[in-house]
Amino acid sequence: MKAGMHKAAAIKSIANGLSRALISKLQGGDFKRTFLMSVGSFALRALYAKISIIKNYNEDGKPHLLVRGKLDVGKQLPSDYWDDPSHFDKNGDKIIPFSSDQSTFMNTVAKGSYMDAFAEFHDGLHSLSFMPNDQISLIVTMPPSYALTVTAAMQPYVGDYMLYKNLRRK
Amino acid sequence: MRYVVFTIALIFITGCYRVGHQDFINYKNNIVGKKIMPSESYKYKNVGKLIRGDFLVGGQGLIHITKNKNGDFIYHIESDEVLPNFDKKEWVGKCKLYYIVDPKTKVIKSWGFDKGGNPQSCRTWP
Repeated sequence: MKAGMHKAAAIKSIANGLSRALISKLQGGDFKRTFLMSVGSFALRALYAKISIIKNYNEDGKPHLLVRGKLDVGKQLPSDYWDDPSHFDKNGDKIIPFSSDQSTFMNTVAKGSYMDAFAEFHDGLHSLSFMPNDQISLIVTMPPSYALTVTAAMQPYVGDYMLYKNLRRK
Repeated sequence: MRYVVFTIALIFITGCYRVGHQDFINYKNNIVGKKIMPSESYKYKNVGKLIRGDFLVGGQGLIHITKNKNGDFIYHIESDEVLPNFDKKEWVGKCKLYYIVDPKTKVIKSWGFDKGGNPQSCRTWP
């Protein structure tokens, strides 16, 4: 069943790429470039969906522009974190760490374009059994994860982008 | 100049973004020498609810208090639980802790991982 679904997705991706590339060629554009862009973005979107949905971080596997559901940017603290009295101020209010997903800083960062969607992919990626979870690995995988998220989000607009490029060339 | 700013930013982000089991131990060590917050039984806010994806469940809180040979109180805490559907099987289990508390001053003398839990499930998450 799964293999069949993958095969169908691959055929759809190639067919989509061919039709877009053909249209681009008729407009005087580059066939090969359009085909590769189309198939590549399709594959990245499929990868985004597969990884971000793994542990239910992202409900439908779609890269979304703004925050949706639970905020995923920043460090999630365990429940017992608030057992420590030094984590409260004199008035009894929580002193939220800068890196926490509850902090003002991380809440502001999460409002950036595709930031929450990127965090869902990144969390899913590091939930995989073979992925390391040390500090360096978590940071190194951030830029490519963000790039992948944005590329996956742009997938439906590759045709429009190539049309714009071709018209501009004329 | 650009590289200097980039390096400083990277060090700053790396320093702030510490997660995992060791991070948990580090901040837990800070609790020693401080007065325990609630002296009676308490429960955490998200008891039994999924608090991360479909694999992390909110902990119970303070389960019970016992006494050791020296007369110190032992506070048994049940924090979050990693469910068996999580891919990293070595992290699966309940995060069980104990605080050894001075009966007079209510100051935490030490802490540790309690029996029946999996210490690896005690962690901060990215």
